[in-house]
Amino acid sequence: MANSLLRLTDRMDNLYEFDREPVSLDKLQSGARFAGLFAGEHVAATEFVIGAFFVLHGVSLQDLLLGLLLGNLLAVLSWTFICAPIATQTRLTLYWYLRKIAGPGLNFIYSLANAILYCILAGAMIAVSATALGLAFGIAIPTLDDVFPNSLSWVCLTTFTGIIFTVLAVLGFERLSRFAQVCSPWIFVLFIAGALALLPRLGVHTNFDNFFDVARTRIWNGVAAAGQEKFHMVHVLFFAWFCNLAMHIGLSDMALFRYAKSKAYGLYSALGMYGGHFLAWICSGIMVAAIGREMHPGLMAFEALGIAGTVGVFIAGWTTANPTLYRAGLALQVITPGWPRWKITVAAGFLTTVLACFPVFFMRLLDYVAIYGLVLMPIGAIVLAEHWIFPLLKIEQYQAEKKKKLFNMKALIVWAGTLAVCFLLPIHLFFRWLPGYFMALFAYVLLHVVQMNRGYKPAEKGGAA
Amino acid sequence: MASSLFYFLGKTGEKDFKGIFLLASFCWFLFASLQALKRRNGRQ
Repeated sequence: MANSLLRLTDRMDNLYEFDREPVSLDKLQSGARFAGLFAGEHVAATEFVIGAFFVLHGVSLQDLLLGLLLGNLLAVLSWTFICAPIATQTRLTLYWYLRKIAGPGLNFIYSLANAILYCILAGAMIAVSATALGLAFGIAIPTLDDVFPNSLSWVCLTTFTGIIFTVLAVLGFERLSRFAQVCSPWIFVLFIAGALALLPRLGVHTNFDNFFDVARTRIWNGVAAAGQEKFHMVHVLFFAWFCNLAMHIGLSDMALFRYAKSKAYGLYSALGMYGGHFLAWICSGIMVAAIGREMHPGLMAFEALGIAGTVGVFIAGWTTANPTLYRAGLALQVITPGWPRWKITVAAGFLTTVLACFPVFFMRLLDYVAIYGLVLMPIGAIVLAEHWIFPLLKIEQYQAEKKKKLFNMKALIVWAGTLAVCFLLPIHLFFRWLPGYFMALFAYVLLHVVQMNRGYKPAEKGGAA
Repeated sequence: MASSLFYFLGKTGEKDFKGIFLLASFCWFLFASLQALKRRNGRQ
C-alpha cells in the first residue's frame, strides 16, 4: 500500500517537475500582467448564477452593496496579507510547499480532492452553457429545488454540451486558452450591456432618476423566492469573501504570486473583485429580476441581448469550464499511469458531464462554492502555521520533508478533524469556515507544542531542502 | 456597450439594438483575433 502510494506520489512529482524550483528573479512578472490576469479571471459563467441568486434569496439593496463592498475588500486583503507574502517569500507553488510541510501522501489526497471539486465546478459551468443551448431547442431547464435531472431532454442537453467541451479540450487546451483571452473583455461587456438593456423593462427612466427606487422595490426588494432562504448583509459579505477561499486563504494562488515582484501585488486582486465580481453580480441581479426571477442564465442573456447574449452565455461557460477541466485532468493524471493527455481529459470530461446532469450543483451553486472553500481551507491554515507561527514559537519547520515522511499525520488529523467539526457546527454553512480556520491553526500548532514538550528530537541538519 | 446605451435612452428599437450588438460582437472577435495573431507572429 505504502509502496504503491510512493509510486503514485513520484509520478505526481514528475508532472509538476517543471515548477519544482523557486521562481528566479529574472522571471518575475510586471504588475500590468497581474492586473490583466485578475480582471479577466473573475468574470466567468458562474457570475450569471451568483448575482441572480442574491436576488432570489431576498437580499435588500443596502445589504447587497454593503456586503459586496466589505466582502470583496476582505478577499483582497486575504490575497494581499496571506497568500502574496507567503508566495513571494517561498517563490514556490502550493504543491511543492505543501509537499515539504505535509509529505507527498497528504499532497496526493489534496490533489485528488481538488480534482473532484474542480470537476463539480466545471459541471456547473457546463450546466450554465446548457441553459443557453436549451433555449435554442426549447428544452425546459430544471427548477430551483431539483436535485436529480427532471427530464431526459435535460440529460441529453448537458451530455451533448459536456461532450462538445471535452472534445474541444482534447483538441487543444492552449488554443482554447488564447480564445478565452479574446473572449473575456467581451463577456464583461455582455454583463454591463445586458443589465443596461433590461433596465427599461424594470421601469428605470432614461435619466436614471428612479434607479434606486426601482433597485430597492423591483430588484433587491428583500423578498426571497418561494423555497429560498432569506439572505442578509452578512451572508453576502461572507460569500464575497469565501467565493475564492481556496485561492487566497487556501493559498492555491501561490502559483500565481510566486511571480510577483512584491507582496503588494495582492492588491491587484481588487480589479477582479470590484471590476469583476461586484459589477457582474449586480448586472446578473438586474437581468434575473427583469425576466421574472427565473434562474435561467440563457434566457436572461437572450432577453437582454438576443442571439449574441445566448452565444455569450454558452461561450462564457465553455471558456471557464476549459481551464477547470485542464486542472482536473492534471490532478487525475496521478492515478492514471501512462495515460496520454487526451485520455485523461476524456476521463475528466466524462466525470464532469455526468455531474453536470445533476441540477443540484448548478441550482445550489452558492452552497457548493461554500463547501469547496471549506474542504480546502484547513490546508491553508496548516501552511500558514508552519510558515509564520512555527518560527515564532521556535518549532521546527518542514518535519515531514526532513524525516522523509509519506504523511504528516498531524496535518491529516487537523484537516479531517476540522472538517468534521465544521460539519457539526450549528451555524450557517457560509460562516463555518472562519471558526474552522482558526481551529485548524490552533490545533496544528498545539499538536506540535505538545510534541515539543514531550522531548521531540529535531531532525539532523542537512535534511532540509 | 454604446448600442445598449442608445437602446436604454430610447434612440434605437429592440430589434435594431440586438442586431447591432450581434454585429459589433462579431467585429470584436475578428479584431481581437487578428490582433492576437499579429502579436503571436511578432513574437516568433
